[in-house]
Amino acid sequence: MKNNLKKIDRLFHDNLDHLADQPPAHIWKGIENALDDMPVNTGDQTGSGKRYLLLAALFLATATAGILFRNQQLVSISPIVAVNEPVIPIASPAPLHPEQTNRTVSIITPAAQVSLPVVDALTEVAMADHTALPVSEETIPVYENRSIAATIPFTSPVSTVSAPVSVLDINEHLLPATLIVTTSNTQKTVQTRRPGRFSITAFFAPDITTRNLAKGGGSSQDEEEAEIARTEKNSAFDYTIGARIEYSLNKHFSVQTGISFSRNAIEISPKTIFARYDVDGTVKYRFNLSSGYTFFKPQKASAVPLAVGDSTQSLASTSLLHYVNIPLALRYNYAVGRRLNLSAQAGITARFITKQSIAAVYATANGNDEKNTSNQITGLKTSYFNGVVGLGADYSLNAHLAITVFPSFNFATTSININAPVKAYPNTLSFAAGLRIKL
Amino acid sequence: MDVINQIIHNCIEGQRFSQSQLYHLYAPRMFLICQRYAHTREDAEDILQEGFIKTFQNLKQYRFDGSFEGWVRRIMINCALQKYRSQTHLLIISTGEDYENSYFVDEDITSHLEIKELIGLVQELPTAYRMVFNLYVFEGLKHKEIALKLGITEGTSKSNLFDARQQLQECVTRRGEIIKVKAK
Repeated sequence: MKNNLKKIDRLFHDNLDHLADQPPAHIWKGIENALDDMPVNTGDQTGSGKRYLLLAALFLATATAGILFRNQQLVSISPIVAVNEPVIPIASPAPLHPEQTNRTVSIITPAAQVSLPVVDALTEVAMADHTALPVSEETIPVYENRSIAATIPFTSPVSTVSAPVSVLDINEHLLPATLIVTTSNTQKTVQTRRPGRFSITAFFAPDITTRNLAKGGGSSQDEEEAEIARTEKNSAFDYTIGARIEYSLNKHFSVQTGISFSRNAIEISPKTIFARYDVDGTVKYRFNLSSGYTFFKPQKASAVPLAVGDSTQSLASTSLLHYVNIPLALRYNYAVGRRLNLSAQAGITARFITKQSIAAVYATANGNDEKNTSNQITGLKTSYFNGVVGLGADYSLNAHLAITVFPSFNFATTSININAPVKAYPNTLSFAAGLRIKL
Repeated sequence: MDVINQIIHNCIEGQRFSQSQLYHLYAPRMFLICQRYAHTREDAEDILQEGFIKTFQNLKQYRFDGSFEGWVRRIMINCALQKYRSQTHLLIISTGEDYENSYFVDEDITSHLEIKELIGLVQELPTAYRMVFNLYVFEGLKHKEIALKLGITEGTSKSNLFDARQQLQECVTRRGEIIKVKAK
């Protein structure tokens, strides 16, 4: 502010144009996060397909281990002394630019005292830890258009480190110089966690389920698939809830697995059911549905024994299926901006039945309604496979958390039953939303 | 190959250490530039972050034949203009002439003004004035170039500069008077 300025333009220009101000540390962290999503020149790409296959095969085994060991790293903070451009003075016996001005000096180093005996030392700068202590800045004289470009790694707790540095002039010509860094506490370690390759997503998905029916192994006495389809209606409250584990292979591809629980209920309209022989030789009402069939034995004895061919009217009936799902999918990610990530996924899901039941109300020979429940649906497989394709979008809240939505279409690649009146192939449109945690 | 060029090459290859070096070399200088264009320090931080992300994203396009600092500086300014682009059209059109040589500032006053105060005065300017003032005074652009850059007319650029100077002069004078009173 010592210039003899007369004009408002020059007042601001001369006092502000060449100054520097240390930005807060969180900005670099934000940039680092963005850089993590940027493509990197990795050179050789051959063999990547084999690598993906190998990783996919090993993934299930490593996923469990991966979530147990979080990606913690001991990082020595400030392993470098970053000397900010235009702030380091150089001494020159005959300065090229005789017009001196004041510059602000800021050096990031943990509790470091930095002296600058560059050729003929001009001054000494004391600089406190930028993050832990109040930032002290001193102005020191420097020459116009001079800057220094140097970084000095120091990893051992020594008190003084000296290193040759290069000083740039305005034409970016290098001038030799020496920089001495004296530290009172050079080594400071902190535990930091940066997002690793693993992430876990907790999600909930309302499901819309339909079933494709095909002719099965039923007898001529059983209902046709059209009749079964007519009487069945999927519940409006089907859902899937679970956790998805993801391992990032590279910027674009990741492998997913996890575990989830699905509920699928089917409401069955009133229909006529007939008495048939059960496998144990007793006559019971046989209840056919798309998942398989079951037998209901009237609980109250009737004056007239039940005979094969007798019929009764079933009233409102409900079938409930619970599955545990283990998916394996490949996901393609595409970053849109800093926070939004779009994705597409394809894979398979192994589904294991954990609960099967039919609750039916039917009229008995006594004229009373009887409610009966069977927890065994004959013909229903204990497991089957689904194909899955889907889209997704993640919105990052910070480096570790993201809100995610991933609608997907699940289609049975094998029927859920065998030796049943019809073969059923469920299709599920799933609208998942959840929270993704990058481990 | 000099130090800067080597660092840039390393950054292009994605070496995080070099990216950190490059950032810490240029961030302080760029941060002050961002502060001049921004309305608040927080806005300046956003611009700086966005600017460096773009710098790293487009580093391959740097042709190593000019000042790298100038290249980064242009990115920062473009980021700032982009951030406030929608606001640069909210202008108060005056018929003021270009009073380039008519603003005199008391030397005694300016000697008491801190750097942060000067930045604050620029930040307090309306967005449209601040953009024109920065482009004219610090980047040395002509009104025709500013008009093209901001999508405004040359006359609007001139009147904005006039109003910016007038407002800054009033603020500097007022601040100086306060300092004088306190000194007494």
